[in-house]
Amino acid sequence: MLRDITLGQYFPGDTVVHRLDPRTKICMVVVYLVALFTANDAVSMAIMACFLGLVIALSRVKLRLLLRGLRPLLIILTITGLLNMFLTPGEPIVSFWVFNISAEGIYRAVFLVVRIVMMVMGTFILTYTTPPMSLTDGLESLMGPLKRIRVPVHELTIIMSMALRFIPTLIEETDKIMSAQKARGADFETGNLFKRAKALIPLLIPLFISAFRRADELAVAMESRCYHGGEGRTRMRGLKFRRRDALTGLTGAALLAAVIGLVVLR
Amino acid sequence: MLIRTQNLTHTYSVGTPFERTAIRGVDFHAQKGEVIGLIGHTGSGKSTLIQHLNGLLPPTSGTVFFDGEDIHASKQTTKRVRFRVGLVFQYPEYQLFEETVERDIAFGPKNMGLDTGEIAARVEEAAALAGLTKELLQQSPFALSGGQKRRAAIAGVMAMRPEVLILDEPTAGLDPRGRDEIMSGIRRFHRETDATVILVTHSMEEIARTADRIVVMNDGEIAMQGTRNEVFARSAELNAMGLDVPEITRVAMRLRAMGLDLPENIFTVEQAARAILTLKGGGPNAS
Repeated sequence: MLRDITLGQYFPGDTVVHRLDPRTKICMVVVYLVALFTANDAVSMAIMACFLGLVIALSRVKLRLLLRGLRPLLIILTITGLLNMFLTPGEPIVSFWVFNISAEGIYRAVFLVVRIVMMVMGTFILTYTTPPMSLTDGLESLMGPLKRIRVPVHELTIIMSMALRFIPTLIEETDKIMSAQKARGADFETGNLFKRAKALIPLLIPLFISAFRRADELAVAMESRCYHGGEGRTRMRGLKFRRRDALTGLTGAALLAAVIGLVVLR
Repeated sequence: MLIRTQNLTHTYSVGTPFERTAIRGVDFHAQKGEVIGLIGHTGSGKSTLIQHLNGLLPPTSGTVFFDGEDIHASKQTTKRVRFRVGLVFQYPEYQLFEETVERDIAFGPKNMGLDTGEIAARVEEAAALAGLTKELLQQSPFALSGGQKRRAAIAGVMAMRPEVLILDEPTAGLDPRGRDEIMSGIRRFHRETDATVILVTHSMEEIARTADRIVVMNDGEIAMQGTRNEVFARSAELNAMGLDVPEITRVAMRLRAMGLDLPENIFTVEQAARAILTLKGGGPNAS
């Protein structure tokens, strides 16, 4: 089912990770990603994995959901793994025809695949535990300084939050139109590429029409509530740093320091 | 028995925090030529149930039989059943996509693999049943009025000549005239093809006027079923489920409570008018 797509989806919960300020979480993801790409040996990678494991445990996000999010990446992961395995020069331990597999190759392949998996999982935890609205609020607040150099931060974030807001709606709509056309015998699953592309017309035209209609209605609804941009706009729920955010920040700094330290000292 | 479900259960989003069982152990059946009114509050599982009847949703457990055959026996069976059980979704006008109404109605028959002559005949027939004029057929579906769009979409399903026609709230959001046009189109289709019609609606008046049998769903289960006399006699239970009897039935009930000697089975305005006239001694034909 289409509605089971998990991309950018929020799973409600009430854990420390859910309660953190979205700005803290966004910054932590950046720190985590920097650390992840700095880490270049088994020890530092293990530290990163422990950290990720701790966050997963704290957030109580089901491992199965995280793994399901990885499914679309399966092909990329496989190609990355295979290319690195075969193309890394080194002492071959297995070789056949033109292919050589070296110990270094296997090590590199595993390392890279683990790194990508951990990268994706880390960012998924952010979207799984943060409602889209607070995510964009956090982004707007973090990008606040850019307003000085006339970057339309508010407009950008409201576009983003609207896009996020309408992903589930559009998915549901797609599902509905697809069912309606299937009920009239439309076939989206068989046939060659050309045939399948053509079969999408009865789905895409109604979908576009309804998206435009929705956009129109949304614009009217916003204007009738006197929306006119971010100037002087206040929030119902202001963002507030708490002690747990400070602690999380310290943990992040410690993590980054540890990984950089390990890399430099080696 | 044309359609039968056995112990049908469906759960959405299995394995996520959004997991929700929409219908539970439903045994539903429909006979040939029958008009069934399916009622229930929002979220009672009506829409989930009807999407099982033409195989759009696979059951989580339980079986759906069409003409004695399990509709999920093979992919071919499911596909064949889709053409024999026509399903009109809520707000079906949002599925229109072709350049002309005629071509949109032809979409279903074309998918059935019929030849051009047969398709043209079916389009003409369905358009007439749904009450669309010849001029409308050549227009873009997006240029029509709301009620006309709705009828064009319904004609698109009727054109497949289904043996069972299921409609999910076909009159929602239309004005009284639009509602009447849709309902008379559905009655015309039933009269001329003798197909089974399953009508999901929130309008007790439409049910009272059209259905032979009423099936009431509550919280994913069938709460009661029977003729309109049997079902509407249990108005207290219906109220408890957030449903109601037709307005005119309520009026008759109040009049009876006030001492007027009206019969108990009044479900349409016409019945009420006749009964009151009889009571006044004028007889049904006096004015």
